[in-house]
Amino acid sequence: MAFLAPIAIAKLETLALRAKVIVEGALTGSHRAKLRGSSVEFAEHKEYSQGDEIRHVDWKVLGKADRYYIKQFEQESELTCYLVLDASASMNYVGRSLGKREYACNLIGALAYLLVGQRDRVGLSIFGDARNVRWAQPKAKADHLRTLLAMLEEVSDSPQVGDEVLSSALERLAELARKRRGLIIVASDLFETEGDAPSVLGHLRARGHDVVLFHTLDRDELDFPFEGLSIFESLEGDGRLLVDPASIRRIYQEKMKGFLEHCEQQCLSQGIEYHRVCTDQPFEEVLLGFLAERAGVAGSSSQRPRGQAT
Amino acid sequence: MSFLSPLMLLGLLGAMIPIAIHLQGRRKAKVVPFAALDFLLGTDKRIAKRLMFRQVLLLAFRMLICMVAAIILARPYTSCRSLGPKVAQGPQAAVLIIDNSAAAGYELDGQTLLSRSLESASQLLVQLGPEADVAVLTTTGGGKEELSRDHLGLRETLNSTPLSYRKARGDQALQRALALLAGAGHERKSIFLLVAPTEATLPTAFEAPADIGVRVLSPSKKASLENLAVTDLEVSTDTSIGSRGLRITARVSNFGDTAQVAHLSLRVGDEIVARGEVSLAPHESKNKRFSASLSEGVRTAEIQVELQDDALEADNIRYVVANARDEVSVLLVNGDARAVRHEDELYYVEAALRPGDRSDSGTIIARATPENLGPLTLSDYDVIILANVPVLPGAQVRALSEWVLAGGGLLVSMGDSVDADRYNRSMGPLLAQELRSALDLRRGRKRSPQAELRLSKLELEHPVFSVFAKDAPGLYSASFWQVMLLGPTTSVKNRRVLARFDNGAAALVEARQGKGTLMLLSSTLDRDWNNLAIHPGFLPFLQQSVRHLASKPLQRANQQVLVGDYVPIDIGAGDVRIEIAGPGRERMVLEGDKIEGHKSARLDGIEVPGLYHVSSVDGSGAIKARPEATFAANLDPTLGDLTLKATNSLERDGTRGEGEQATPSRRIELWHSIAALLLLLLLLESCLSLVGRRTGLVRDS
Repeated sequence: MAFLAPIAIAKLETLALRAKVIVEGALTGSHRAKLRGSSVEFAEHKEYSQGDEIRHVDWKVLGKADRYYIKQFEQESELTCYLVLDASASMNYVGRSLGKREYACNLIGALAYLLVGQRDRVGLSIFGDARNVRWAQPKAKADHLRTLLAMLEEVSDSPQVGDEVLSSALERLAELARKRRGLIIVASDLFETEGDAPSVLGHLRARGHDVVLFHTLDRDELDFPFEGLSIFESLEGDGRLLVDPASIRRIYQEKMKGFLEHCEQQCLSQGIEYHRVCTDQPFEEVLLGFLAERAGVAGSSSQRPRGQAT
Repeated sequence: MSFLSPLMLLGLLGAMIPIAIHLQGRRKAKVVPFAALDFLLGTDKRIAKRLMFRQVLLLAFRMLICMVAAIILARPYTSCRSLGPKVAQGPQAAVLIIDNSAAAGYELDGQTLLSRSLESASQLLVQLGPEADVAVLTTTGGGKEELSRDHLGLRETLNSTPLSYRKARGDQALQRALALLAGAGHERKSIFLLVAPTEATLPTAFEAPADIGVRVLSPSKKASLENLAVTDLEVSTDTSIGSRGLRITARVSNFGDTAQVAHLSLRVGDEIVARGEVSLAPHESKNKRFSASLSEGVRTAEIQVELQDDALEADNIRYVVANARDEVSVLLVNGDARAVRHEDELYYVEAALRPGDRSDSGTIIARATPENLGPLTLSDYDVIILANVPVLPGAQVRALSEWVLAGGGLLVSMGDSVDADRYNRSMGPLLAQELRSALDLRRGRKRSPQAELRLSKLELEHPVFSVFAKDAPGLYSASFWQVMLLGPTTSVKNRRVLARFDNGAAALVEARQGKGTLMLLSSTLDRDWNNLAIHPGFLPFLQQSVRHLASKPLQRANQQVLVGDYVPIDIGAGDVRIEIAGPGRERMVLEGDKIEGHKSARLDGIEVPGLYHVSSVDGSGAIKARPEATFAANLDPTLGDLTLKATNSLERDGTRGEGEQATPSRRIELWHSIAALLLLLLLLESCLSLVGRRTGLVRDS
């Protein structure tokens, strides 16, 4: 299946349009989204066994077949979803593809579009600048989508300067979402020098939230393809390093590999759904992967996060 | 520290180059905003610190390299007080006399005196300057016998100055130096003696002209040089250990100021046969005796005595060639042969001359009777014993007489076959003294002490009796009951009675006849007239008598020469070439005019101590070894005396020329060591850069 390149989608004028293109591109001709609203639908029959509630016995079947069958229903409650976007300075990096921040905004926007379209309650938390906390309460109204997309568009269009760490933002979110457990979707590069971001995500998971992480990285950050004497300036601090990139490529790649494996292992061990996303990956592919994973989650009690980008 | 080219110090500003390059490199580097590198590497404090330290170190090294290069180009030097002689630079004539004798091979702190002197000579050439006319002479007669400004050539002469085994002749070298300086046109003239001031190198009475300065530059600062030497070596035969026995006497001298123990080893041929040691007080000489026995059949020995290693090796060894005593060929003429051995006239004689019939008795015995004496060649024998022989025919007597005159030794003993009158008439030339009549003390008497004679007066200093003690019990106890009385005679010159009986009658008479010797025993050599044969003195008496008659008491050692001397080589009648092989396998040849028509030729060119083997080549081309002509060349025995003398009386300043300036200080160039530092810095910089490339951390902000 061919998808539009992130660069191509980025050329669309508004985020609302981009979100729509992404979602419809991903869903057209594929399958129905497995995320459901608050309704009770019959799923299947199951032979009665000891311990089952009597009220669920299908008396009609009993009358016809003289056998006890239990009616099973698919629980479809109204989902509360918290979208969390990392807008710290480290997300400002722009490589040969889309910038990390812009990519994450589009991805979160598409998810918002999808979720609101299913009448789920969707909230948004954009962290990065501790002095300018951007937060939208979860709502299921259709016009709430505009609010969310407007917030995302604002972040997407202007570079961010904050250095708020993910852990503090998530702690704040945990406080806000303490009354209602829900799905927390985080898009971040996890570049923070204080604390261990996967561990903080693990805390949310421990509180009963379903946590999905889109570990958003640029291809340059994976491959380190730079050549020639370069001064690397930190995006979040004042550090400058004059270095010959070719000569440290191996060390860098080893360290990066270790970092990625650490994040993935931490997420696996804590039941966090982990998606490694590279900015040159089509949005539809990422979205479909996510939806397929969610379908697996809905059909099975075990949740197995997995990486996608390499 | 000073600089010959101080302007080059401006190059120190080159230290700014690495900083400029560093800054320029920073400016050209592209800036990449990047979060991951800072996140991954910036948190590693160790990397950051190591990076910073390495970069600062690298920059410092590069700045230092630039600065050191500039300093080297400025040619830094320092000055120090010169410990050598005050030497004036400028136009002058100077003669350097270097001791290259074997004594200069003395090792002091791992360096020989010669090499020290050569180093000093090289420094002197520098100090004298290029305008000086210099000659280099050696104490052994070599060198460059002309004044020259070709200092390069002079250096080559110095570098090629060999160690010589000749004796140092400091007086001759000084005379040659004076002759050279006499012809020089310079106002300033100097002689530099680069010698250890010993008796050999410095003349006791030498006075240089007033305008010539003399300096002695001893390669040794010590007051005395410890040295042991073998200064003499003599060899003689030692009959007490057999006919092939040798007695070797080595003289060992301690020329040092401390008592020492000299460890000696005696080598005969290629084998060390004895070792010994001698304790020597300071400046004392002692003899050390060795005894050695040659192998059977070996009559010539190449002997060397060697000291343990000391600072001067050349005088630790001395060579000598010796011949063992020749065997004496004796013809026994038996006048009373018997079938029963112990009744035979010569039974006891043979037993005494070849005790145990041993091959090393030194005697070769042949037997004859008066009847078969005629066909024998008498010249084959050294000694003939006529024992109780009847009167011989006149022809045989004449032949025997001529043989004695030519050098033979004849012993005549008495017996029943001897008729005094007929002996006097026919065999007079063979008798040391005329016979008178036989005296038989037992005729008509019973055997009693009164009827016997005993020896009473012996010439103990004579070689025949020299081996006996004063009382000679082995001889004095012998009984003689029948003797031949001798008549007065004046016909034989050089007659000497060596032993008498207690009645005053002569018992043993010796007389010289031409080159030979006659001896007359007035009794028998068996037990018919006496019982001397069964007394212990009989054996040494007879052996000494034979040795004395044979005129081969001891074989003298072959000739010994000193290195540098000439050697006379005897030339045989048919020799067309004489070849001499030296100790170092070098060969010298005497032929043509040098030997034609000569009985002896002079061999020069003995430069190395050791053993020289001579062989001759006759007209047919046959080579014949001549062991009797083998000779040993040794060093002068005084060579090892390194007692240092005062030089004050010899040293003097010459008249100084105008404009002369003494240079008490010496300049020391420093750029060599600074260049070494530069190389070290470059090496360190390369290593650091290599490590930086491997880790990739080149420069830090």
